[in-house]
Amino acid sequence: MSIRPVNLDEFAETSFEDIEATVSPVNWPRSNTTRQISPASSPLKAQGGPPSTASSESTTFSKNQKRYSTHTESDEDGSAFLDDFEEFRGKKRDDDLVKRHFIQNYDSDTIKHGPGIVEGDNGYDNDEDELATLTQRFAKHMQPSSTNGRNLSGISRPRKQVGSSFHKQPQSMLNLRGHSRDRKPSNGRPYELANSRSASNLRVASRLNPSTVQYKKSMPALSRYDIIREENERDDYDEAFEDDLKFEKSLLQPQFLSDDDDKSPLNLSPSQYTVTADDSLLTPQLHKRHFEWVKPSQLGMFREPAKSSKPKKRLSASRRLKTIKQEIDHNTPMKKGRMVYNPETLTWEGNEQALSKFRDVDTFDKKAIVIKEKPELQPPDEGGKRSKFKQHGKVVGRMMFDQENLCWVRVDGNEKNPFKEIPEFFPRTSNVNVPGTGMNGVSSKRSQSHFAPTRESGRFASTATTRFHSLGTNPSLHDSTFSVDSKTLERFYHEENRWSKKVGGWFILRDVESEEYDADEGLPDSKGNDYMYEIRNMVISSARN
Amino acid sequence: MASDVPSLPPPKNTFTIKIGLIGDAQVGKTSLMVKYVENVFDEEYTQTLGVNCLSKKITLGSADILFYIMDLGGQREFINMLPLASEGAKAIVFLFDLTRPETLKSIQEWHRQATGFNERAVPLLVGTKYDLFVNLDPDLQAQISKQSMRYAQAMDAPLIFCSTSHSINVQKIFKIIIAKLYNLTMRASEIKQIGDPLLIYKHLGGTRRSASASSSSPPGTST
Repeated sequence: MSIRPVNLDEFAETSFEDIEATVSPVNWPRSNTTRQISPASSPLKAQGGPPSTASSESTTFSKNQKRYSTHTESDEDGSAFLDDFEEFRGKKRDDDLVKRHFIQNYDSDTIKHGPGIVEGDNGYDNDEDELATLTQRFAKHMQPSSTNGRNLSGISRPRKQVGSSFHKQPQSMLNLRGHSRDRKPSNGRPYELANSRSASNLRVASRLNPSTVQYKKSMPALSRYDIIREENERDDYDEAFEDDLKFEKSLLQPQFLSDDDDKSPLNLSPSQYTVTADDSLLTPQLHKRHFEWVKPSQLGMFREPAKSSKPKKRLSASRRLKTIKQEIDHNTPMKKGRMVYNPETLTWEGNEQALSKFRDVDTFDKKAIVIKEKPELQPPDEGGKRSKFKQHGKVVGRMMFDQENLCWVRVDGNEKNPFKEIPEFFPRTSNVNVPGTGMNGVSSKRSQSHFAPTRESGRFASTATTRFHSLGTNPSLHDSTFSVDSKTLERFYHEENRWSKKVGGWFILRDVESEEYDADEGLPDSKGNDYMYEIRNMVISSARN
Repeated sequence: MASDVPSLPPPKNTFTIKIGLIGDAQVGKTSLMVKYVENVFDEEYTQTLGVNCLSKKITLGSADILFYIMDLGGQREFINMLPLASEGAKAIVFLFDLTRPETLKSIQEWHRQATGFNERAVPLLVGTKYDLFVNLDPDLQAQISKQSMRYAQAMDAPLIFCSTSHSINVQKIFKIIIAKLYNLTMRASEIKQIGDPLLIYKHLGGTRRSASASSSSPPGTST
């Protein structure tokens, strides 16, 4: 491709008068039509573009004269065109059908949006006149009853503008505008609005005796409570509100928010999670591709059917294409509506809020994301021996989660214990050297029991072997949750010994390991009541002694 | 008077639809316009020095649809003519080059400025040069497709991938405009598969339907 400046000689030396346009805004008469041309009928009539725009050789475009024309390529087959719409598919191409979908659509649009939108503020005066008429009618009918109502309330109230009540119901104003423009009322009552709440109220008021006017929901001003409430409101409410609440702006500053709040909550460890923007969530309309991608040779399957255009005399493209050029350069500042042209940046400034729609598109943090654990860190399901790494599963940074002990340990084993140098708080009170001490307690044998020797573990077993448990357990291996002085410990020691002498030979509460041992050895079920017989025998034997 | 001449055909309604084509330079705005109006495609690039205009009339029996297509030069120096292409338009087609993702990024600014002049126009987001797009890496194709879909959603604009040189989805752009303006139902099924020339329009562009195209009825216009 090459950039080629337009050769102006290629354009025809024509103005719009010379162009044989089938339909052109300049050729349209402004009157004597069944349907008046709306001001927006010519796409260029209303705006005219920036003042710098001028006509080129081949195109006449002038804001003042409102003349504009281009060549019109015409007569595409309307039947083929409309076949692509369901509303026209397979139906006879009669005028009614076209009118129904195009002309009526226009009518409804006109009613819906109202010419006030099209014409800007031109028609607003009429609305105000109608509003004033309605206001007078409303005031005429409502004045006696409203006065009585206020007297009943016993509160004298400065009379407000009746018209102000209309401002509370903007809906009726909209209806007024929409209906009063295009439709003449068929019943000759020009200002009666069927769908307007205020209109229905007016109708009721006109039919009934004014003294019988009833309170309706649409008349909040007649409510006794509303009167009282409004009486209490002062006109300078806003000022009073501000006076009462004068404060330092700085007090509103978030003072207790840490800097962490500014960080994204999605600041996750990349080593543990795979954070990906899930495009499919944001673009659910798009489907993943399930077959081969389109090759250039396959583009034909998307080709639109060629039009069966009749061969006819055509102007060359260069002659038919009209170019509107600017007369002054682009360094001239200008203003158009709410947009201001900045010649330095070559942009129109304004309407900045439109960019907010794209903010979510471009910022990653606001995208829908999917957080997944990295698959290689998932604990495998394979049986047998597993490596220490795999056995422990999750690794976040340097830390590895020990699933057995439910704690995090260093992966590299360089676990530094900053508390290593701190001396143990508990003195070694035990002077009984019992082998096999550990966190799980002391193994003990009970010669008097019928049961096999068991290893105590857990707090239940301590009942039976308290003597050995307390003496044998190295207190330094336990966390010092409580601070117990040595005297108390000594007292505990003597109390425990006394208790052990008393009940030490009775029975052993079971734990899981002992049960497994019993099961392996074929011993009687410890869960049963066998131990009760043991107690019974002991009591009997002691009694005999 | 028409009543005096019974044989005179009834006045014909003409629905004039102004369409603005907006986008970065060399995305193919003029090519699309010329392709639609004249059904020709020229590989040679011709810079638009201002605003190009073409119109096309479609005869529907008792009524005509007249497309006024205005194509704004993509160079920054012509952006002061943006009001010409956007004001009064019933639809604004935002074009970007599917092979140049930066042109999609520019749509933000084009959209901001164009909607500053005309908020009621139906927006359309059109990716051009689909025939070159298929040569891209599939991952890049998917990425561009998704990003353009997100843009279309943000703009509430139908999304169309087209190829002017291969006549892909060119006509549909303008039919979608008609469908959106007149609440018609298009028969063409949407194309949603990534990698295909996307055509997603049914649930986009409906909320900001502008006032219907203007109607005019020049009397005596021959049918």
